[in-house]
Amino acid sequence: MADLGAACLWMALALATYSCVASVAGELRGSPALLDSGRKASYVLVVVVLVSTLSLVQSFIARDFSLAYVAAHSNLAMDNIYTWVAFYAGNEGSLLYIAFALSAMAALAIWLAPASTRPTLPWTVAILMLIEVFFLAVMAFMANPFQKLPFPVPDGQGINPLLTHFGMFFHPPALMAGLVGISIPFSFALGGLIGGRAGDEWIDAGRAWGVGIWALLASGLLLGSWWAYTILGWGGFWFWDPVENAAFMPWIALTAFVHSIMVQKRRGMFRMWNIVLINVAFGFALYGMFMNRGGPVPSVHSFGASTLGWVFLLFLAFGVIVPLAIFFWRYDLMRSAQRLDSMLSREAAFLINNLLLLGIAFATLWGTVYPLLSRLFAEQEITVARPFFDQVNGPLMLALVLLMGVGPLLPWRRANLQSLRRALLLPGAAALATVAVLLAVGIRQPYAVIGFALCALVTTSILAEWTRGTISRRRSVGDNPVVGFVRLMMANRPRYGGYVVHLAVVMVALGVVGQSFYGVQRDVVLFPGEDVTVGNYRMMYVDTTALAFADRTEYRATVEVYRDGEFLDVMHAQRTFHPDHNMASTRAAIRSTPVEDFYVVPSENREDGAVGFRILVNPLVWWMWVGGPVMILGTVIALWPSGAPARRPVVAATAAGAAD
Amino acid sequence: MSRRNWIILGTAAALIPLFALLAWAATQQRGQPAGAGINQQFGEIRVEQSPAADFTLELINGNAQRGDALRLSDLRGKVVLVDFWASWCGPCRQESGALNRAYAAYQGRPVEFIGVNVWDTQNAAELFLVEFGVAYPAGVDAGGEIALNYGVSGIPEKFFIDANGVIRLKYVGPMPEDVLRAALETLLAEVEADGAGSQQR
Repeated sequence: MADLGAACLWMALALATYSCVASVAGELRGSPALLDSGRKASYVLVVVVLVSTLSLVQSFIARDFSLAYVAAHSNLAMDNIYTWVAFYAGNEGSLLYIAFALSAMAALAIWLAPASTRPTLPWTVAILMLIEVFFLAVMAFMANPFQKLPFPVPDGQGINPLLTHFGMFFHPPALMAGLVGISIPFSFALGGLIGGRAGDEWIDAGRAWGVGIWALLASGLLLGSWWAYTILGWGGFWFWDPVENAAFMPWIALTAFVHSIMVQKRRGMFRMWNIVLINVAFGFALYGMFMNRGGPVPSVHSFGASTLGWVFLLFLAFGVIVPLAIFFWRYDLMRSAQRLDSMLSREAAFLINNLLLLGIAFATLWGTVYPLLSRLFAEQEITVARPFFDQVNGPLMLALVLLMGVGPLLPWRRANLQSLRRALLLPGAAALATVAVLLAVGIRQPYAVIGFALCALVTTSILAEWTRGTISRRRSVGDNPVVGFVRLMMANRPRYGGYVVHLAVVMVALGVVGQSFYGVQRDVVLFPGEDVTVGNYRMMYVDTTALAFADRTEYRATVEVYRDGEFLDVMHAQRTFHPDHNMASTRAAIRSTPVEDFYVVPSENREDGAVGFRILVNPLVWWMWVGGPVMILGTVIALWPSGAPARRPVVAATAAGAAD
Repeated sequence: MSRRNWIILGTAAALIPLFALLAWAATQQRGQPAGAGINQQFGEIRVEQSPAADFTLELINGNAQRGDALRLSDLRGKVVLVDFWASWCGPCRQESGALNRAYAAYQGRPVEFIGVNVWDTQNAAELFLVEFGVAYPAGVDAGGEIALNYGVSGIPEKFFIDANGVIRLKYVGPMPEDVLRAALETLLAEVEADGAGSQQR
């Protein structure tokens, strides 16, 4: 089985190379047959990479420890279900996963490519396949997942215990697929540019894929936070870790892109800017991969010391410099059809949104690069930690939330102040009312007050618009409120889907502000029967039971929780010691309500029977995790195709966009 | 200069230092950022045949008294196997049987094993030695200096030092018993040939 996988890897490399070369040659010589074969090779590639992938999965299921990769990432004690995680737990397997994800997405993108991109599609195919060739070649020559051990080992080293969590089933694959998926909108843009069609031809495909990939990355980031919150046992969910940042920056750049592409779609503006943005997003994605694999900054996420750093650095340099050269070569083709009419218009709001987002992305980049600079010049590494990111990005994000409330109220082209004032009346009042209520109940922290007020502003402005639209439908068409609301949403999906995503962002913001400013944390050591009071809660430690397994010992602590003197719940928090890895993993007990989470995690089991607990009361964090599904819903609405025949979904989706 | 050229110049001014910095940083690969330091690759690694850095190790097992120590340079004339290990390292546990058997088999021949415990606690190391009945001298490299001098990148990792105190072979990952014995035999053949030669003279 493993030999089949190894053979398929080489075959895939040959196919991807052929597809790339045939597309370029066919385009230069004007040979439709060659182009056709190049395109079809990219479809066959998916099957070949899939066979390779499945054969590695099979080797894991069979615990074939003659493979170095299987021996290093699984053992006999591992449940088969964790094969899914073990598969991408190391460098080689994750590269295979990425190669498969890219080949599948690329084939889909090529197959569904809208008619407007057809003339330059060969270039797009060639770029996608070139990227695929890179991953396949790195595997084939440097990090082969099918590498055999010189001798068989009786048992493997086992999976990293931190990875055996439900969140790990989706967080890494979503992020890896998302990062590599940025190649798709990027290839449409760059392909158009090479082919001399740098106008509006690529934007429908670019927008659809951009939004889809954006949602994928967003879910990956949220799931990662959720994983950190429930398992890492420090009670937070985001640490501005270098590798978190590596996924965060491309996502932020993509956020800017999915907004500004709408301006091009509606108004024919920002043509050059959109190409710059997708290039920046792609560059950040490459930077992220470099940081992940043999990158220079140690982090809990990195794949360990590997020699791949140089290869990925060269890939990063190539992937940034070559597109830039093409961009400057085609510079004169990208003149926008329109100019900005007024600074008080939706276009301008989008522009400011873009600048704020890029501000966040580059500030974050500075934060990841600064430790290297300090190592170079000060000969000691100064790590840029949370305070830097919070202080710089916090205000920028608040400004973004404000813009999220005001921007959608502005009309295209030019707003007049009076109509803006009228539209802002209700949301503004809601924001002020929120401030008054917060101050009255004693919440004085300026950032928190501003944050909550802005959340109220955005929510009110969205709800007001929905209400207005539903009422006017009732007046004009006579729909009842429910039908009217659904029809309203369906009438302008990109816009109303976007609003749903905005609501999800508000939910996430509530969680972030609540936890950052009003989270309470206490570390205590308790003997059985002792109790501690944290905020309104009183927690009594009952006892701990130890359960020994072959590869781990689980310590399950039972606690009783009371709020305001009333019994609330019995909770079980767990701490597991894995002697093979000399590592403890924790599973927090969390009682989550929309108001606040009561969170308890055992941090140490002392020999005298006492247990160290970390206890947190985190307000509003519940909203963050609910925001995830809401965001997916919004994305689906925004991308949902119209009633047109669905043979080519992307064409259909964009037709819906064009109709409104 | 045209607007385009200004943009080119600006982009280059930002990108060139960034790439230079990243390239420099990539040369500065550091330590063990991830994982538990367990060697992921297995097999023999070619090493430059350089004199083994001398060290003194305070012993913690067998009949060792407090303060008993072993100096590598005192073992000239013997083939020495230096094994870097830790109690939490799965592969080290896996291969401890093979190491013990080989050590017992080579009693009476000019061979010595030294277990250097790294990245561990002394308590855990002692328990490990008792659990597996390790007979060869072992001690704790508390500051990690020995490991640093030998360029240990992960554990288990073994160095074979010949009778003249030169590192001849480095082996990464758990070593199968037959491979281990073969390596020892190769180096022993040299010692014993030398010994026979000097007797004749």
